[in-house]
Amino acid sequence: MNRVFLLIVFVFFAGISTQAQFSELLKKSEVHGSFEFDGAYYMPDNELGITDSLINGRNFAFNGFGNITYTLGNFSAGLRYEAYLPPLAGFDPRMEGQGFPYIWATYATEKFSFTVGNFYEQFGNGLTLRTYEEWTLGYDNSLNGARITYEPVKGLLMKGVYGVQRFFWSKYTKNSRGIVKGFDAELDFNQVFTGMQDAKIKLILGGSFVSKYQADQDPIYKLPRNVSNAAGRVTLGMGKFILTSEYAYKINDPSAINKLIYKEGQGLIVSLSYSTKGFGFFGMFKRYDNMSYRSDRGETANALDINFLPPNTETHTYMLTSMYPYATQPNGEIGFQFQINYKVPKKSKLGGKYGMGIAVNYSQVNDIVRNAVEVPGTDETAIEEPGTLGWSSPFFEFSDQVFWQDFNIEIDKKFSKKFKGTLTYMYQTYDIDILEGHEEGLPHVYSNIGVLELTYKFTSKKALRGEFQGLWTKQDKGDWAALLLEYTISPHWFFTVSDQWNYGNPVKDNRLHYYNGSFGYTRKTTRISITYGRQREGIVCVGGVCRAVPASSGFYVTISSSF
Amino acid sequence: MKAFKILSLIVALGMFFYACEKIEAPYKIGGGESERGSSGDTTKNVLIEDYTGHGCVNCPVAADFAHDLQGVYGERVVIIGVHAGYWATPGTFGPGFDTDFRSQTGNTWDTYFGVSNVGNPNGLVDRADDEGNYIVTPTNWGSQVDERLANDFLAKITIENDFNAGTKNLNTNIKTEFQINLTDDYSIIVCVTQDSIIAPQKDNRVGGDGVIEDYDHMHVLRGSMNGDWGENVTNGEDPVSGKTYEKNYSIKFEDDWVADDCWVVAFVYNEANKTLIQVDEEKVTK
Repeated sequence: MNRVFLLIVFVFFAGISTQAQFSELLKKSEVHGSFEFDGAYYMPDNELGITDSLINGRNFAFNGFGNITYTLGNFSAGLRYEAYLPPLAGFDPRMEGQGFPYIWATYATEKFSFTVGNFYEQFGNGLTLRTYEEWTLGYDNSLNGARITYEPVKGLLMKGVYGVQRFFWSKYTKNSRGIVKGFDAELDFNQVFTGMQDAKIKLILGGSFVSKYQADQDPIYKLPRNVSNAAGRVTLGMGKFILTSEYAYKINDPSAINKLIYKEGQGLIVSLSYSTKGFGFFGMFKRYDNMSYRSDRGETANALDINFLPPNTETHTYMLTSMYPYATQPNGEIGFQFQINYKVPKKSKLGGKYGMGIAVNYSQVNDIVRNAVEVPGTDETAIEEPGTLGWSSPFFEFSDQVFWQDFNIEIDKKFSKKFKGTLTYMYQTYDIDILEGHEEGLPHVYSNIGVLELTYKFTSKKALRGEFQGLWTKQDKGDWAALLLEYTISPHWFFTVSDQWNYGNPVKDNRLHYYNGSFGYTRKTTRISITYGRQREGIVCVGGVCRAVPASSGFYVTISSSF
Repeated sequence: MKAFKILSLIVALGMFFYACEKIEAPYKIGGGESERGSSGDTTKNVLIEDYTGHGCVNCPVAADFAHDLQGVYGERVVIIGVHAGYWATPGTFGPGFDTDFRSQTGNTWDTYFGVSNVGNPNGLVDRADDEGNYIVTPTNWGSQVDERLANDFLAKITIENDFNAGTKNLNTNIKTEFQINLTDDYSIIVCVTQDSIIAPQKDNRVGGDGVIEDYDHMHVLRGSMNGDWGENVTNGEDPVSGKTYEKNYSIKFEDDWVADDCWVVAFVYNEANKTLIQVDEEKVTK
């Protein structure tokens, strides 16, 4: 790939014959970039069970990247350097290494664009294809190949992709993983048809087809080499209402994730939103049944996903509200979510001088119903048995097994020009066994969580923010309390101290404090922060994709910049 | 007309990209029973190490995968069931789960390769190293075995067992004959496995409490006869083609080791990357 990139650059510059031309070219060129370096120095911590032998001399860990993009007229090219030497604790050890895993070049005109090299792409909501990079998860499933987009008329966009996916640092070799090809088309009726340009009804239709090829080398099972996944989607806007929906159908795709069953996969998401001044409503329904779709049927870690299954759960960011995040269950889940946002008007009894915001959210995810199916060649029936159709499942039925429930209400209010606050209450049900993959018969975790966040501005530049949090549960590690104080001197400095205290742990010796102290300095687009303290063991999820984070103790440094 | 052309283009492109294969039952085309032979094979054999535990609900499926592969390839596939990690803990998973199938050697291997740390069931196929990762998920054992079997036959291992039922002492003679001259260092591990141990096993395929009370535990690693990492085959010299290197080992059987159900498994591996070049097995008693 490096050679290809150099060739492109060489051919490009070979045509520039004079210094004047070169100078002109430089004037028209634009170069942008961004960098981030996350370093850690791990230290032994007897209370957390971290010993010198566990660290094994690897006190330093480092994740870093640098992105450079060059643009000249219709042409653009870029590359990303990455280094994991070694990766930070909790990242896949296969990430260890350094190099340029992402190199690309694009030529785009008004109607066409051509990309070679690595690229990210998403069809619709991602049910058939979504390649993306998520730094906090150490996740990158970019495609390496070619992409063409074509927009013959304004409002009709077609895309075609062909390539293989990134798998840590492994170079693609024959049969090492599958080959992905896909096509997507989206038609915006209000743009294409002149008669609909001013219509009150907005309509967008889309469809995508994706297919993966992987050789069948299994001596026991007859495996499909070509597995396709197709989806249709609609967005319908009517005044203040917007309805979106996408349905995907995948043919038999026996894999390590579904334990080699030959069932078809189905995915459906429907969402409805309504928005007017001071009031908003959002509702969503989803159902996934055997929808894991990867370019290596044997892969079980966070890698080589071709598609993405959007979650229907709210993402929480406070220390304790994010303790039990939701992990999407591609083998089967059915759920819904509702959210209402209401702004209590200013100068009303409740709203006071500045008004008050109220947000209520409820989400629930259950297992799908699974009925036993015939085991071919026998009189027996079974659920999830390799070499069968896996299970049968009535489409709209919820199983009794609740994976997740989250009811939360958030009230934010400004009391004066200097003082504002947010109060959050959350009740959560969490199937720790399934969502964290323990399968140990652990009981569900039922927790009540309260957070009070207060911010006081001393001057226009100086502010103090405090978070006071509590989590109460009889399961897992018991009750927690957390405190965070952050002093900001805009626009350059911040100083933070925080502590999470597991005061209700059933094991007395584990009633630990996870304290942290950090400060940071920002100048223009460059930011540096240094933290000392403890990281508690837990799960980090982004969009329902999760990774485990082990407990650690030490110094952490982050430097980021962009230009 | 333009709209028709565009629509045709979309359909044509869609057809081009849309490829699929619908598989009809029966989906399983191989597997089943196979006789296990004796040592001295002159073909490249492959070792599947099935890291398992009696409390692991998905492990019986993995055991079936390994068994099916033996059904396809016969004695060219050798299996060791390594009970290690949390799911192999005795006294944790309810009444009857008090048998300790773990062994010191199994625990050492599990720690080194990090298998139970990743999760059970998982395994190793010939301890083949894929950029530092040895662990192979059970659904990939088939393709891995297929790939490993295509490797050259580099060493012949002949195992002769002499078991004294009175003293419960097993003496084993191992002869390794390299087929070509080699330059790396090679070690041999000789261990004992046992079949047909009837004890409870968790299995998510059965109803009720998900327990098979009389599960037939096969290929259970009992222990090593020459240490967790074995011994250098050639005592430090470069392996010479046609030369036979001989080793003798002995082990005293524990009370619950049933000699008639036991096998001696021997495998030769490259010390640099731990990857096997050959494995073979022989019953303890004829």
